[in-house]
Amino acid sequence: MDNNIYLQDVTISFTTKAGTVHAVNHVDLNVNSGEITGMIGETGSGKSVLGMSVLRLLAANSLISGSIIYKNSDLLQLAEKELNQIRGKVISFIPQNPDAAFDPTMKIGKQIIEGFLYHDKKSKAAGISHGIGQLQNYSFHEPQKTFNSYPFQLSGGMRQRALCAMGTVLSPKWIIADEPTKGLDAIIRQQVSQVFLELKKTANSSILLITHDLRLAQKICDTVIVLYAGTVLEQGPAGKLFDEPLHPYTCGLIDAQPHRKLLPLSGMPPSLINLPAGCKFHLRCSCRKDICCLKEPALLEVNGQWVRCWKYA
Amino acid sequence: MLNISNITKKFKSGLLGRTHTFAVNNVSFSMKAGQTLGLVGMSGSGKSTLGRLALKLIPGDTGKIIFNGIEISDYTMKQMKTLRKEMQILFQNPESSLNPRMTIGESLEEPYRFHDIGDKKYLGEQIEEQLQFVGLGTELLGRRPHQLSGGQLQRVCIARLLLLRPKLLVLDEPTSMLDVSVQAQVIEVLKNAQKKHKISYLFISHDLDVIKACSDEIAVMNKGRIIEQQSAEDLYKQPQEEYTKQLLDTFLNF
Repeated sequence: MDNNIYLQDVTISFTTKAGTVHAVNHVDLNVNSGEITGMIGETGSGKSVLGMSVLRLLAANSLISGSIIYKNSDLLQLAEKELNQIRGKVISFIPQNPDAAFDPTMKIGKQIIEGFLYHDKKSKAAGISHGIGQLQNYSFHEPQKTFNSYPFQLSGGMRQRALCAMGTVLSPKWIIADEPTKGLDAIIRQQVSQVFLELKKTANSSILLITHDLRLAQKICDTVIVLYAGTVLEQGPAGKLFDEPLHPYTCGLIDAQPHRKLLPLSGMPPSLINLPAGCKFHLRCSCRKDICCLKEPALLEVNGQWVRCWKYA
Repeated sequence: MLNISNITKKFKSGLLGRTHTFAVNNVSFSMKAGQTLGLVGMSGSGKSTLGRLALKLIPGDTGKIIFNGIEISDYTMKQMKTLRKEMQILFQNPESSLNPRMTIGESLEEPYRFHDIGDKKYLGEQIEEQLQFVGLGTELLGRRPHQLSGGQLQRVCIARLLLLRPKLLVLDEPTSMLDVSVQAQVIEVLKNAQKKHKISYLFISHDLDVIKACSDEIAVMNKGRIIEQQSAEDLYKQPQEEYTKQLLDTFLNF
């Protein structure tokens, strides 16, 4: 039995006043264990929603169909009680925006070891020493002091690292990290990325990294998935995907980087309430053909990469 | 157009304010009209404080600020009002820059009214022109901030600034909350605005890719001081200071 996470025909929608928002549409993915898998795409492409759906952390107005298989059980069908044994311990989620993720009235340390005490049923003293050790791993110079601080007493970069420390406190098999480097400066970004590489190597953790930071994805990911309007447009080994991107959307994202051409993609992402017919990207695509507006292409294998585009059909 | 010499700002903290932190320590620099000075440094290096000092949004402890030949170091906030429309700032987070209770149209009008620039008809035309310039339509005017995306909001903020015809803009991490494609759009708009209106930018960022793409000259800050200032090209080719070398290396080949 492997430790991969299999997403099969996962579709997620939200019921809102304005209509049904189709955030994720028929996603089939194998996320390999032992690797760092990057998930990239613009704001609103469904990255975070897909990440959160694995642990069923979505808001009450969400509707999920399909299945998410981990170790022969469907995470979407498990009872809440069974899922709680997985959350944080086997699969953990590191949310984005550390300012909002911490309880402002509770000390950092207490929040970090909360999951540890819940799952491992150890004494409080053991929890505290474990928590302080954990902070040390994330390059806090004064772990004892940080442990007893409130979130507002830490800088943004420190809070981000503390959040990573909290997410990995039980050395989970899987870590789903949502934009762990957003708004961080170069040095802290490097520290956080080192931590992830370390976790992969020493704790043998598998990581699903949701990010806008293409440089980071290129540097530390083994596999990269490109999402657009809740659909996988391309998937492949990170090195290859960034050197020879196949899908026009991936090319556009790469060219938009400031150290490349700084060329914005034309147009806007489509409304998730009224998704376009055919290929979801066709409205913004420069290589559009007639068929692109009519029929959605399948995900096809091209030289070891997977791509959803009529150019390669 | 802007000359700053020996400016210092210290913050007091702790019991009875006995702990002093020099956020900006004896910094001097000057800016040319229509050009961009990039300001890089780590979190806490004093970049944002320096940007606010340059606009006199916060008072400095010592030092001289000369804007277009006028010394404004000792100007009171009241005196600053006449110059304020020429010296503006664009913030990092557009969601917290706009009042959630006001429509986009109201937000756009507010600074214009405050500075009492022209009549309502003229204002309407101006708003339409500036929205078009930043790539937005007038259908947004009746909406409220939560109905717009981050990129749209940041462009609304830029349109609102352009209405005042500023000569100096401090851009405080204007794209760090935006994704890579929207970032490219916003930078394009900023560059076009600079070309059209000859605005000087003080561009604050910790993203060395963005700074390189946007700046004519770059100043590197560390612990409240500017430790190096060079043309953008030279800085990346031959950084003089060890700290700059480290910074470049960490960012580009981490």
